[in-house]
Amino acid sequence: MSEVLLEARDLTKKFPLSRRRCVHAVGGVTLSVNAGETLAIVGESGCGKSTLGRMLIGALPPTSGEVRFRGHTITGLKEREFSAYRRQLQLIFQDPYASLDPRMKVRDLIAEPLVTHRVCETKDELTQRVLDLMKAVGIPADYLNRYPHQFSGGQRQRIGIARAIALDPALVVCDEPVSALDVSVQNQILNLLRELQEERGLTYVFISHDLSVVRHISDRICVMFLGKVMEIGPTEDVFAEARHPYTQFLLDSVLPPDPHRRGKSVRLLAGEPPSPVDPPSGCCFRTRCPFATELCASKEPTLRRAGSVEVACHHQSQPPSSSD
Amino acid sequence: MTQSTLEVSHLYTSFFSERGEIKAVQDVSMRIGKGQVVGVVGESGCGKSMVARSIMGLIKKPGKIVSGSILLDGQELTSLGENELCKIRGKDVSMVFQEPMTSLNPTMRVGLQVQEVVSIHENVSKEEARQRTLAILSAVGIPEVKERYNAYPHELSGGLRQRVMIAMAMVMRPRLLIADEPTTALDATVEAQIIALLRQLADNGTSVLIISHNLGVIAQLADHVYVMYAGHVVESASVFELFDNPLHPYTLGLLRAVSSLRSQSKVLQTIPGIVPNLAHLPVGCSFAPRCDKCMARCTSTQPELVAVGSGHEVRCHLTKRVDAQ
Repeated sequence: MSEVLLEARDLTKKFPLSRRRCVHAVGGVTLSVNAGETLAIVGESGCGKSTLGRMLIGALPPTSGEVRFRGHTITGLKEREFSAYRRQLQLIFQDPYASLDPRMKVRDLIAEPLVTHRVCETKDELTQRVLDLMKAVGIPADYLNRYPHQFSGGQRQRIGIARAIALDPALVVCDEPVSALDVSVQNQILNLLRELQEERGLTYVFISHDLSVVRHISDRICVMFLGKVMEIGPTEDVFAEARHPYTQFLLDSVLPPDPHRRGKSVRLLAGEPPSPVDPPSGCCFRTRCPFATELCASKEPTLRRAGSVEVACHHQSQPPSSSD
Repeated sequence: MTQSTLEVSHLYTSFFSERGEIKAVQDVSMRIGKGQVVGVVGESGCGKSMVARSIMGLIKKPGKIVSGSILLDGQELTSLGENELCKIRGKDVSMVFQEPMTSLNPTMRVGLQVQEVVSIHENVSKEEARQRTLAILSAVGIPEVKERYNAYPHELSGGLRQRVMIAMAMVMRPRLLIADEPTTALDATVEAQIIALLRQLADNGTSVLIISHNLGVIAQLADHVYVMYAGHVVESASVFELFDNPLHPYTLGLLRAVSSLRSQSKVLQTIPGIVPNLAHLPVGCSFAPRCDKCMARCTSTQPELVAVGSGHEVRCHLTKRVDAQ
């Protein structure tokens, strides 16, 4: 069993709307990330996956619960105490167009984290580190003095990756790092992330809504719905036999790029997604679940182990047989 | 050969900027039969949305349709003035855009927005327009239509908003529906629902032009596919022929990139390099700088689109040579 790098215990995040109402973005998530692995967090928009990712690296304070990094609590620390951990916990953003300051040259963008954390003694050392990072992410050295607008989306994402790995972090949260990119470029970035992981022993939390990307890149997968974990386990096991009804629907809704498999596997999810302001009682998926019973409305299911995976469903012991 | 609803021939659309002419669409020809779903696939900047905008007459200055013809059931659209186009848009040809939140009026109830289309194009009573609106809203799968009729866009989910957009596009029973990345902003479970809805519309006789970068969407929905790269159609074939027997190196690269994601291989297949800048297109084949089969001729002469079989056309020097043997 590999070492646990990061642990989240009962993490909750509520965003207040008014005095009485709030958005329940994340509702009591407990999970651990092992050193060197890639844990994918999947779910549809608004399920709380980005909020969770930000709380994991201490970029957003949780409403309740705590995050432990190598056994040390990083929740509720003062800025000065936290800065040592900040170097270890980094983030790659989704939109390579919005996440780079358009007025900064590439050399300054990549040098920024190194300067902030006073890593380099001399200017020459700083330039050398920047050049090394550019080489690592595949940006030609003669682009040192270019501005972000002179780069394509894929190259910008490489700059974002260089910034994230500049301080040799232990864990990087990748928040939809390839969803703004074209198919042919997307694979270049996924290959780069995997290479960097092997070379530098990085641990990734990979947030994505794209299940085919997740299947390729992750070791374990965590499926979220309305701020809660529905199912978590080894990626291959979850894809081979999804136990939670929501995971089954999610996997079924992937449109295969093959006209011979047209309309075959697609099962459609009925109804509309419930509101995170006023979540349903009991199981939050029950209003859309074809297998929901009275028990689902009255009691919230907790994550229970079923083989190699953990599932939050009252009916997981008899997995509902799919129609085909 | 069945009668075609839309026939685009040798369309050239350009934008004239300070930095020179940007050739967004070059020599694009396509036809869509009645009730047929035609897909256009390509990466960002390949000109696929500009083909749609040219058909809709939505190319604004500094852009212009330079030459070519667009026939809708035999009627030439490129020579029509704005007033005449207004009568056709929304009635005979309509369009669904990618982002339903920015395409709907946030200050107007969604029912009225759909109803407005009816009142503009036809002289009918308010009550009849309302009845037709309610009918189309429920036809596109919106539950509790009477309540939703009075909702504002922000009160609806992304999937429902896109259904409202489709209802608005379909309320006049157009001959051609153009859907430009209709599911890109939506979640996977909702995407599958919208694709099923578009398929159903086509089965009922509407011709559909679906534009997408997602090969899954194209494979599930289109009957015939045009692959675009840097403003050109580089390959066109029936959906089965294209996925089973792709010939252009770009199509091959795209399909390999997607299928390697689904394989066990550790290293993913990619197409090296980046999409060229449309203002500085390379001489010869636009794909040559990224092509692993590039020959001397590719960097000097632009290849022609050649037929290689029934309904299968490819724009590649390599194909031509194989064909000539």
